[in-house]
Amino acid sequence: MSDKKTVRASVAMLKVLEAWGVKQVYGYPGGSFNSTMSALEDEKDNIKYIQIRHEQVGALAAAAEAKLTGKVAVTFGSAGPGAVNLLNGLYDAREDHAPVLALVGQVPHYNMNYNFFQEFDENPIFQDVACYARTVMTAESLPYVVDKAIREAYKHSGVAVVIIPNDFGMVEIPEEPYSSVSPSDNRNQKQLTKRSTRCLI
Amino acid sequence: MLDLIKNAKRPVFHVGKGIKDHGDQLIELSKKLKIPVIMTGLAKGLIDEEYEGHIGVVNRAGSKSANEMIDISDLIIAIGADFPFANNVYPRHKNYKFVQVDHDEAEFGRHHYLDLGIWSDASQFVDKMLDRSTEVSDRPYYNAAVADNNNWKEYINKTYDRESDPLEAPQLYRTLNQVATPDTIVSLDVGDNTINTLRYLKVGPKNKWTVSALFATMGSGIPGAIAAKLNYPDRQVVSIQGDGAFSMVMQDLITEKKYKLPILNIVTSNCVLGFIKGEQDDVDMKDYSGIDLEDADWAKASEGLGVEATTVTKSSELPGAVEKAVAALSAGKPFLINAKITNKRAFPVEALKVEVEDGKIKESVSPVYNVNHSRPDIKTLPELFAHYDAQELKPLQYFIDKYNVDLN
Repeated sequence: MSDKKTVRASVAMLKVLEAWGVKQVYGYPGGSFNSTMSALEDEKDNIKYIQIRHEQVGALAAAAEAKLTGKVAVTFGSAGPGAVNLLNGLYDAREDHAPVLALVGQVPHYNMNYNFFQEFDENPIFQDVACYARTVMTAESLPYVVDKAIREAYKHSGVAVVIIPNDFGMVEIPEEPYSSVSPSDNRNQKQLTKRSTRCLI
Repeated sequence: MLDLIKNAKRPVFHVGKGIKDHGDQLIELSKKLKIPVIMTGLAKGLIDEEYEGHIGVVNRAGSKSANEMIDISDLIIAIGADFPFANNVYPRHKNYKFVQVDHDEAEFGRHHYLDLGIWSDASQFVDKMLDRSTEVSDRPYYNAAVADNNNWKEYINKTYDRESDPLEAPQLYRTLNQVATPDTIVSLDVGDNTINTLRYLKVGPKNKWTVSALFATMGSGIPGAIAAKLNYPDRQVVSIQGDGAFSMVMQDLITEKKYKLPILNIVTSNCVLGFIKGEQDDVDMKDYSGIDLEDADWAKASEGLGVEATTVTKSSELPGAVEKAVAALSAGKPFLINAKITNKRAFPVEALKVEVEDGKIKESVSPVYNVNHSRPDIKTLPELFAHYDAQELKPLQYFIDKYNVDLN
C-alpha cells in the first residue's frame, strides 16, 4: 500500500472533469471551497478557472455553455451564500434541459451538523432543482461521485449537484482512473475521436 | 395522419426545436401539402424565414399572421415542440383536430388533448410524410396565410428600414444584422428584446443564439456571452439586454475584460421594464405600477468597469458606434453600446381577437387590451393599426375573401 501512488482527492476530481472534456469551470471562491481552489491551481494547464463576480453569473454561464455546446458545463459556489446564489442559473438549466454540474462547498466533515459558521444541511436546497444531489461522504469517493453526477446530468439533461466537505479534497487517495468515460459514450468528450467512433461501428 | 390531412381544409404545422437540421425537408413538406408553418420561438434559425409559407410565431412575441391563421385552423400538427404558451393559445378556438409528434411519449397530451399522438423523432416523421403523402396542388387557406404574412412583413420591414430620432429598437436590430457574420452567436436577455429578436434578428444556419427560455430570468445575457466567447473564441459574440436586465449582472463586464473576451454588449435602455409595461396596459389597474427605472449613464459605468463604450440616441449615430465597436473587438477588447431607445410598445398581436361566426370572420380588439386606460381609447381595428403606425395592415377577412377560404 505504501508504495502505491496517490493523488489529492480534489485533483482526482478535476481529472474526472477533464476526461469528460470540461474546458473551464465558472465560480467564485469561499473558505469552504479552498480544497478545490487548490486543485484548480495545480491543474490550471488542463482546466481553466473562470472567475465570475457573482455565482448567479457563473451558473447562468454554465447553463448557456451547455445549451450552446450540448456538453456538460460546470459551475461552483462555496457553502451557504455561494450555494444559494447558484440557484437562479441552475433553475435556468433545469427548465431548458441543459446538462450542468454544480460543485458546492461544505465545511470540513468534522464540523458538519454542529451549526458551524456557514454550515447547514445543503441537500434540501438543491432537492427541487437537481436530478441528482449528493453530499460526498469519504475522500476516496469524491471523484466517483462527481463522475456519477455527470452521467446523471447527461441522462436527465438536467442539473447534478455534488456537495463537498472541504477537508476531503486535501486527502491523498490512491491514483486510479476514476473517470468512467468510455468510447461507447455517445458524447463528444476529449477522447472520443473519429477513429474510436469508427471502431465501434 | 394522411386521412386527417386529407379531410382538413385549414391545416397548420406548429414546429419546435425538435426539427433540428430538418428545416429544409419540413419546407419541402409544407410546399408539397400546402400547409403553412408556424414555429415556436426557440426554433428560430432552424427554418428559413424567407420561405413564403413560414408565417412566424404565435403569441405575444409573434406575427399577426401566425396568430390569426392558427385561430381559424381545423388541424394543428405540432412537431417536436415544447410550447410553453399552449394553455393561452390552443384553447382560443374550438372544433379543430390536434396531432402531436413527439419523441417522448410522456409528453403526449401536455399541450392539448390529442386526436392523434405520433411517437417519433421530428425529422423521421417529416421524411416519412414526404415519402408517403400525395401532393396538394392548391389550398386557399395556405394562399391566404402567405398573403397575410406578406402584409405583416411589409409592416415589419417599414419599421426596420426607416430612420429614427429618438432611436427605435428595430433600427438597432438592423445594425446588429449588418454587423453580424454568418456564424455570430447572440446571447439574448429577456424582455422586450425577446419580441424584437423574434421579429427582427436574422438567424442563418451557422448562427447560434441562446436565451433563458423557459425560466426566462433577467440577467442571462452577459453570462451567456461569456460562455459563448470562451467556447467559440473565433466567432463574433454579441449580448443584447435592456437596462433592467443589464443592471442585474453588469459587474461581470469586469470578467469580459479580465479574460480579454471581445464581446459586443448592447444595452437597450429606455428607463422602463417595457415587457411588463405592455402587460400592465392590459390589466385592470389604475396606472402603471413599479416599472419605471431610474436612468444611469451605462456607458460611463461600463468604462468604469474597464470596458470601452459609447451612447447612441438616434439611428444616424449607429454607424459611428459600430465603427468604434468593431475597432475595439478587432483589438481583442469587449465593447458596450448604450442604445437609448423609445419606450414604444411593439405592435400588440395579442390584442387581436379572432372568432368565426356564420362562416365569416369576426375580428376585434380584445376587451382586455388597454384596460388600464393609459393609452387613447381604441375600439376598432383601424384605430389599433393607426395607433401603432401600422396603417398598411389589413384585417384577416380581407385575405379570407381574396382567396375564397372556406371557414365551415
